[in-house]
Amino acid sequence: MACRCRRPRGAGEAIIYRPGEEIAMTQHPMLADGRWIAEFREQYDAWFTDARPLIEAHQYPTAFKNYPFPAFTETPWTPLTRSLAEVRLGVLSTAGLYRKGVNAPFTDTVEGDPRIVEIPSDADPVQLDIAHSHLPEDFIRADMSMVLPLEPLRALVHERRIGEIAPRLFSVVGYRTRAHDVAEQTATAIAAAMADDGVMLGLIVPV
Amino acid sequence: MANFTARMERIRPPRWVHVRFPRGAMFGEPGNRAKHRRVLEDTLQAAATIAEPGGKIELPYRWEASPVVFRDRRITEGP
Repeated sequence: MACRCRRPRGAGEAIIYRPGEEIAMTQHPMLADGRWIAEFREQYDAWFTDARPLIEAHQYPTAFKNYPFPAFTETPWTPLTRSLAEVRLGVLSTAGLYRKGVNAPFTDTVEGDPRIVEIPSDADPVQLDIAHSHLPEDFIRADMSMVLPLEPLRALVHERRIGEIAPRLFSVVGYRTRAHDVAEQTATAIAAAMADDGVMLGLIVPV
Repeated sequence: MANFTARMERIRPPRWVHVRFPRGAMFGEPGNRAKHRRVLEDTLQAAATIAEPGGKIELPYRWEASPVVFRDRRITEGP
């Protein structure tokens, strides 16, 4: 739950979305502390040179043993100033969910597929599928509610426990090695989209 | 929300709940809608309850099904 709930770009700057498809990975200003990025970027290439063959061989513990995990120095904070019954909730899943027949499945790449897929909040759960090779896909496919509980979400809105669900939910693959790209491109694009949708509270559902 | 305490302490999210469920099942067992709903509602309530940056709430739920088998491991909760 990390919605900054601020518009992360200047007035008048338009962002073009393809409804029901993907969010364009255009650059948006980053609001969070990004002081770790320069050092990470320097260390990443050296790490990846050594790690790539290990990842390709699916030797993940060895590959990530020396991963240059970012060291954050700040904890971001935006107070929640409304009751849950008044908020518009945004949701981000990292399970690699997509809509069959609408979105292309996420691809299995060494550094992780950087796409952002949007899922309409009124989507039929049977439309959803998963493409995330670092998860037990068949197990999750048996009940997508384990990673994206659409019916319980709608029930909470119906019972006025939460105000409403934003018109679109967002899906990415949580396996991404290029943390600097996640921070500078993925997170900022999703934050901008949620701000456009009037999201007041964001729920991140990792897996 | 997360099932991986060490990772979250490194990421330093604004607020979070810890769920003791295995990878791929952040809301509980397949088909258990009642638990999915309780976990979801408790998670959202935590957003209204946590008042300090980095605040965490431990949810009381446990995995009540066979372990999830993934990459030759049998998993019942996060690392």
